[in-house]
Amino acid sequence: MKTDVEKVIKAIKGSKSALTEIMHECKGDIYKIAYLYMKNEDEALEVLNEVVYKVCISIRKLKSPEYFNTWLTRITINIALNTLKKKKRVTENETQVSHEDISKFSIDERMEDNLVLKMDLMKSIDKLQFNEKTVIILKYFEDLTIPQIADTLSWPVGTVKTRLYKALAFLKSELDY
Amino acid sequence: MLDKLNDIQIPDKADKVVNSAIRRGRRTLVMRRTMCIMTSIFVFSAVLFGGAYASPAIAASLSKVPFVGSIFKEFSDEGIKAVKEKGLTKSLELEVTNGDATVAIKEVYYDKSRISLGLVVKGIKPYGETITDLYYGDRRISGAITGIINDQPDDLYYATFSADIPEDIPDKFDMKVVIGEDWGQGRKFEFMVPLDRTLANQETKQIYIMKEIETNEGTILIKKLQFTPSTTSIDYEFDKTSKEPKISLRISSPNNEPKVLEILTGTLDEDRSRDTYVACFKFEPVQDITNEYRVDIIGEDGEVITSIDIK
Repeated sequence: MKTDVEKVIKAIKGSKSALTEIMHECKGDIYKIAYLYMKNEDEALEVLNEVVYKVCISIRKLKSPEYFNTWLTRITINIALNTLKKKKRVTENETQVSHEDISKFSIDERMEDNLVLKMDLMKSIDKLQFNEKTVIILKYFEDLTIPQIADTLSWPVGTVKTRLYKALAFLKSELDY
Repeated sequence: MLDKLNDIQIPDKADKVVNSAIRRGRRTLVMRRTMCIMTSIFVFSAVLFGGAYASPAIAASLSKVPFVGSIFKEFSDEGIKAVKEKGLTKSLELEVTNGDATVAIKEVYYDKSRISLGLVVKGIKPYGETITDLYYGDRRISGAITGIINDQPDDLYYATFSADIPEDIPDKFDMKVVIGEDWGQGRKFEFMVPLDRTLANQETKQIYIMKEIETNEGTILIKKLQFTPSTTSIDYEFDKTSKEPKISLRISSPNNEPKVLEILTGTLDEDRSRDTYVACFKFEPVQDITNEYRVDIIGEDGEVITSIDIK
């Protein structure tokens, strides 16, 4: 999602037309991320509805318009998580941010991209827990770097790396790679 | 990888959903602006006409930790929920801010079995690292503190804390409450909370039993049964050489089916002077107590240890 910063500034200042344009430009990206979590159209639309509503009532509090995309991604992920929790499809354990020892995951960083190319990503990420799925979505679908992911999720960089390598190690074992 | 994302089709309905959400957002913003204006007018009028009027609603809206509803109703045990239903609790708007943290006491309940406080806390994390002390004059009276803490976003906590209390404190007094951080900045939040259990006392019964019972695990001294609007409690002692008895209570009366009461909490203390353990266990309150009923005290094996007829 790459949104025109000028338009965001106008929306923050109260321009209804700017806000409406932004939301229609972003709706596809919001929906696709929501769909990756919810796995069905109705619930993905439910998440889309809540995200747009939340943006409308909160955009004036956004202090840095250049971070609009990061902010929007975070809202989308949080609302998807809350929706999954309400439907009891995610547990507290899945969403805990813990600082695990990265060294116990044996995947080679250099193999990472090759691995991702070979797999059926859509099927495989369904099996991941919420936090790990989020990191995979942001890295490989949103094309964010690890520091950008850390910024979006307000996680330490080490935690992002841990989650990423844990996810890839799991996916590797799934493929018997 | 981005190709995979492009495989997800955006439904036609998405446009409608976005427009509907935008309209909903605009309505919310209009409502908020209206409330803000109305509140300002009200406060201004109160100041203009003497300022003696104190609206709880206004106080709540000016609070740094506003909460709509009842902490007791939503985040407490069955005993506190029962007294809330009966109207025996008191709403407060006591709030103390220290630095960037605020603690508010929103509700209080007092009877012969406990004092309970409904709190909203912002800016102290984790809230479980605080200590709550209750005072009658200079005397610290809080004993076991149990609580239900509900973790909200934005460093906000809703909590109900209940404390056991000594028998010899008055029915009506102003209690000092000090909530202190046990770590970090060591900040303290001090309140004076008015307590009155006159109404609760009308639905309170204490029965001193002082009966020794022999069981397979050893001797138990059943000391007291107490019925308050928020709990049914049993006090007993057992010898240190005995295994701890796991006791439950069953209530029956001419008009009601026998019911095993749900346990809420319990304390177990050592009495070194007599080599015994002193236990107090609290169960859900008995509703609709008739003049006559029977209490069966049941052991771990399901057998009735003893029965007490209350008249």
